[in-house]
Amino acid sequence: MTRLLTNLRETTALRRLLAGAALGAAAFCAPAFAQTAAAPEAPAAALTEGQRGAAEAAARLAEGLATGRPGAETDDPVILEAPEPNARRVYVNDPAHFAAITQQFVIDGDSGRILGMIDGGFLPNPVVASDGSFFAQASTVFKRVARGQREDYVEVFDARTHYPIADITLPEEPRMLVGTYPWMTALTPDDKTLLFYRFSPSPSVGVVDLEAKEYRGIFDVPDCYHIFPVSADTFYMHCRAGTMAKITMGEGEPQISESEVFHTEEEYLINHPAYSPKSGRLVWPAYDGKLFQVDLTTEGAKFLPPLQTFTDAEKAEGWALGGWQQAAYHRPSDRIYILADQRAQWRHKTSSRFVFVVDARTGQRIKRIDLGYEADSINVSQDSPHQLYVLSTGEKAMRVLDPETGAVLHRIDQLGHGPQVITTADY
Amino acid sequence: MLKNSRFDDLFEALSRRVASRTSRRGFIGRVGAVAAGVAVSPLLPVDRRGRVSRAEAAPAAGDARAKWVPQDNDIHACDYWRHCSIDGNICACSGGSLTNCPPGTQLATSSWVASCYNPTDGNSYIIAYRDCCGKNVSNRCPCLVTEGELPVYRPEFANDIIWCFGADNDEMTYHCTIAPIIGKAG
Repeated sequence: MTRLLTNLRETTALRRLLAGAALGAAAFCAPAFAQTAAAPEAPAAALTEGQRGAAEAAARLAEGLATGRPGAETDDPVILEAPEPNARRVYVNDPAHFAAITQQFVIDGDSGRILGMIDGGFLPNPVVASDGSFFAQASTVFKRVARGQREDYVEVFDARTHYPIADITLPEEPRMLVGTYPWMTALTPDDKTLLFYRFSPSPSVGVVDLEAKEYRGIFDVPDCYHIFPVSADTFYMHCRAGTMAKITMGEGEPQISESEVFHTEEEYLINHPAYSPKSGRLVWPAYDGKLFQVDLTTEGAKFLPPLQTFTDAEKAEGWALGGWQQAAYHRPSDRIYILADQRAQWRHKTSSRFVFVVDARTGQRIKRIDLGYEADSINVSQDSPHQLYVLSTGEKAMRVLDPETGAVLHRIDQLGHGPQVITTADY
Repeated sequence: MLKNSRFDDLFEALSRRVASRTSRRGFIGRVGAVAAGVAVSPLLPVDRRGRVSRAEAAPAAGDARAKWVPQDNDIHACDYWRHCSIDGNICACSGGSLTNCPPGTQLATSSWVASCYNPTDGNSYIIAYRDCCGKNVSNRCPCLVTEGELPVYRPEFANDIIWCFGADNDEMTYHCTIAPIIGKAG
């Protein structure tokens, strides 16, 4: 690097570059060049990618000036836009271990490239439109970083520019602050309304009209959690009693009815079920791998016969779910993906090294993918053929896999401090 | 933000309402435990079935999936027995102690509970974990221990929730967690 720059300084081109008042950037470069030239020489191989790029750009610029064709090879910086969104646009949320300031990374699953990122506050809940045209988050910030006046808000971003296209303040500090659960905040299938959960002072659901960019209000619900929309005005929740509550919003009080009990008290359902608003299929595993499935419609909840991820022999060997986002559902192929490993009881949140693929119709195991590394969250794209996304919180890395072969297509590193949640569109 | 008394009322009403619908689930005590926090939890019939961590098998070295085995020597370690259901940061590592918050934080009045086994005296105790709030996360001594930890629809045993309810100045950011005993699990 130093040798290159020293040579450059001896050329007429560089002298012109340093003296070029018309090029504002050159004036800033001059002291840096002088400083670098005085430093001990370093082998070219030691250059970082950034240093090499800067040197090459400087050389191109100098060459252009020397040949009397300034501008022919010059850079013309712009602000990029992300490509048109598709089913393989992946959003990785990093709650940064309960930090007050967080990030969400936007990734192209095809190239394995980071397209951009957005900032969030305390434990934001991400959502993405069914056609991928926008993504949004319900978030919380405080006036003095981690203390002072609290403000809850919904922020909507254009999928290409990543600029906010709506910023809606939620009055009364209503959001439930909990380790990020994908279905504690949800979009209705028409992408026009965002629903979010409130825990205190009483279980409630808040309504945000994204079209009008307005907060509509909040109403009490029974002792129920999670939000699974099936239409513009109807959604379901799972209740403590082991039922599903159907809630229909209208002009007056919402209409609420509860289904039959579909799981026992000892069948502990994980906090991160998989749900397809497009089909209404809810896939909800229990800690031990029992798979509950419910087809949700505006008419009612239809409970399918439960399946098992593991055989009795495997259960005896300690096979069980584990991680954060432990289940995914691929609607076109009707397949369930489960993150699991052998573990002791009550280790249900520690990472896993295997993905089990189960036919959602028959319960037949299609395959078991041996990842060979620790994984905390999984999700899939909804196209065909599709991609499997595997997130390692500890490594701060996401891998893009071919779900048929288990081959790693891409690995994306440096995803913040403790990335936990993968969001994809229900295309 | 609600203070403790209103929070109590909420859960009392809530538990009665839901219990009246679903008699097969005896969860009034569990809801009461989280609602009332330190003041009355020892009096309530906390469900401790299968939720006491007992050292019966040695864990594989460094295996986070192996059975959690509590120790009674180092309060700064995640396997200290009182930390049997902590998901967060140990306050003793950031200026607090096992039972007190660090300077400058705000002590929440609400809590989630767990029954933790003390290997020294062979007894189990009810721990009401309380969050110290109003500062950014301490990032020191992070732990994820889930002995008896239940899903969010059983919030009194769920440790993903930010339990900063009742903290002074309504502070809701999470800094760290303390682990006071509120009773013997028996």
